Amino acid sequence: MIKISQLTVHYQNIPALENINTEIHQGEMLAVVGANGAGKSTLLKAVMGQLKPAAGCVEFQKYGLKNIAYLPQSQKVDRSFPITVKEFVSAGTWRKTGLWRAFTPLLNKQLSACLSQVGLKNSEHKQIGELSGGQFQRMLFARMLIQDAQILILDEPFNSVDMHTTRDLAAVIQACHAAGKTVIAVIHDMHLVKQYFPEALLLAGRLIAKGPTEQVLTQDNMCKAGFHPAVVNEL
Amino acid sequence: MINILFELFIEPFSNYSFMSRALWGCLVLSISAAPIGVFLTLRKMSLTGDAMAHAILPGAAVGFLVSGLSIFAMTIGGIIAGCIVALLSGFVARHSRAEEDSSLAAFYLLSLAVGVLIISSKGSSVDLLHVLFGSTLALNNEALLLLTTIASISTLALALIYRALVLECVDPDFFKTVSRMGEAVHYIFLLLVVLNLVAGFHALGTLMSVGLMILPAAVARFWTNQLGSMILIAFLCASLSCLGGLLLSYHFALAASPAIILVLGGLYIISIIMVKQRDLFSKKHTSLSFSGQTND
Repeated sequence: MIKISQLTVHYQNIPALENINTEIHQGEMLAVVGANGAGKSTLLKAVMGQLKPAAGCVEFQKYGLKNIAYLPQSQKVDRSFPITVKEFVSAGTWRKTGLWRAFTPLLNKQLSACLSQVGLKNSEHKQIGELSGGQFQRMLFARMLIQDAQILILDEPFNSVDMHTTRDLAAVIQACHAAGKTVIAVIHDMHLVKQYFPEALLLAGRLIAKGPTEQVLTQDNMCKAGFHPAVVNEL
Repeated sequence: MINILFELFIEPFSNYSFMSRALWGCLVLSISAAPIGVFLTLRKMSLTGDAMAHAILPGAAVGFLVSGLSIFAMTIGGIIAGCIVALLSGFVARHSRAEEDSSLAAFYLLSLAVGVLIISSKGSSVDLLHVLFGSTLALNNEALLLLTTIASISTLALALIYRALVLECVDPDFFKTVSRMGEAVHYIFLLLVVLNLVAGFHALGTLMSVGLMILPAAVARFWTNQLGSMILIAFLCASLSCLGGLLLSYHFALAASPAIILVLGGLYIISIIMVKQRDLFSKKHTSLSFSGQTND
C-alpha cells in the first residue's frame, strides 16, 4: 500500500499540490485525472521520490521505491540518440546489471519475452529513431515490463498512439493488474479511464475525489476540477 | 615513387623529433577527446564544450603568473577554473530563473575576460598567443607525459561511467527512477570535458582544442547511427586529421593547430557533400525500384 499523508508539493516555488491525503492499495489499477496543471505528473514524481514534499509524506508498505517501474512521457526521451531497441529496453535491467555487471542469457530471454509481449519481436535491432509513435510507446512498455516491479507508474501512456496500439497496450496493463501489480497512470482521455480503469483519482491542485471510477467522474466532481463544460457534458 | 612517399609522409616524423612528439601528443588527445566529443554532440552540448574551452583561460593565466610557462601550474589552474565555471553555471541554472546555457555563457565570458586581462597585463602578446593557439610543435617530455596521463584517466573514467552516461543522455527522467547517480554522472562528464580541454590547450590552444572534440564527432554522425561506430569513426577522423594537419604544417610552413582543425573542417564539408549524394542516390534507387514494381 502507498499512504499519502498531508502531501504538499511546490514546483518552482509555486504550490502544485496541496494537502493530499489518500491511500493506494496493492493491486489497485488507478487512473490519475485532472485538467492541465492539476498536478498529476507532480503527484507521480512525489510518489517516486523525485520531488521533495514541502509538507507531508509518502509512505510505502511492503513494496518500496525500488519496486517501482516508471513509464515517462515519450517526448521526454531523446529519440535522435543512436541506440537500438534492444539496448534501450535493456536499460530496464539497470537495478540488476548496474554500471558493469554483464547482461546474462536469462535477462536476454526476459528481454525477448517482453518485446514479444508488446509486439516488437522483430524490431530489436532497429534504431529507436526509426520507430513510429506507436512502436516507440510499445518499446517504453517493454522497458517497464522488464523491470519486473510491483508498482507501475505511467505518465500519459496512451498519448499520441492509435486505437489499435492503445488497445494492445491497455491489454498489457490489464495483464499486469491481473498479476497483482499496482498500476497508477495519468490519463487524459476520460473514455479510456472509464473503459480500462476501475479506480480513479481526480486532482485540481488538491484532491477532489478518489474511488471507483464511476463515482469519481461525476459531472459535479468534474466541474469542481475545472474541466471545460464540453468535456463534462460528454461524460 | 616510394622515395617521394617516404619524403612526404615518413621523413618529417623520422627526422625531426618535434614532429614525432607533436604526432604522439595529438594522437593521444584524439583517443580521449573524440569519444567525449561524441557524447557532447549527442547531448546537444557542442557549444558548452566551446564555452568551457574559454572558461579555462583565467586558471591557466593564474598558473602562468605564478610559475611562468609551467605546464603543471597552468594545467591545475585550467582544471580549477573550468570546474568552477561548470559548477557555478549549473548551480545558478538550478537555483535561479536563468537557463543553463545563458548562465554558462555569462560565466565563460567573465572567465575569458579575466584570463585575457591577466595575461595581457602581466605577460607579453607572445604568451597570450601561446595560450590561445597552443604550441603543437613544441611539446616537451613533460607535456607529453601530462597529455598521456590525462588521456588515460579520461578514457578509463569514460569506460567506467559509459552505461550510466548513455542512460542519462537518452532518458534522464527514467534514469532518475532507477539510480541516484544521474547528477554525479553529469558532473563527472563535465569534469572529463574540462580535463580534455586542458590537455588540448597545451597542444592546440584554448581556442582550437574544442575542435578536436566536436568536429570528429560531427563528421562521424554523418556516417553511422550506431554509438560504438560513431566513437570509432570520430577517433579515426581525429587521428587522420592530426597526421594530415601536421604534414601540411611541415610542408607548407603553416601553424600546426589551425592546420589540424582545417583538415577536420575539410572532412566535415566532404562528409556533408558525400552523404547528401548518397541519400540522393538511395532515394533515386528506391523510387526506381518502386516504379519497376508498378510496371510488373
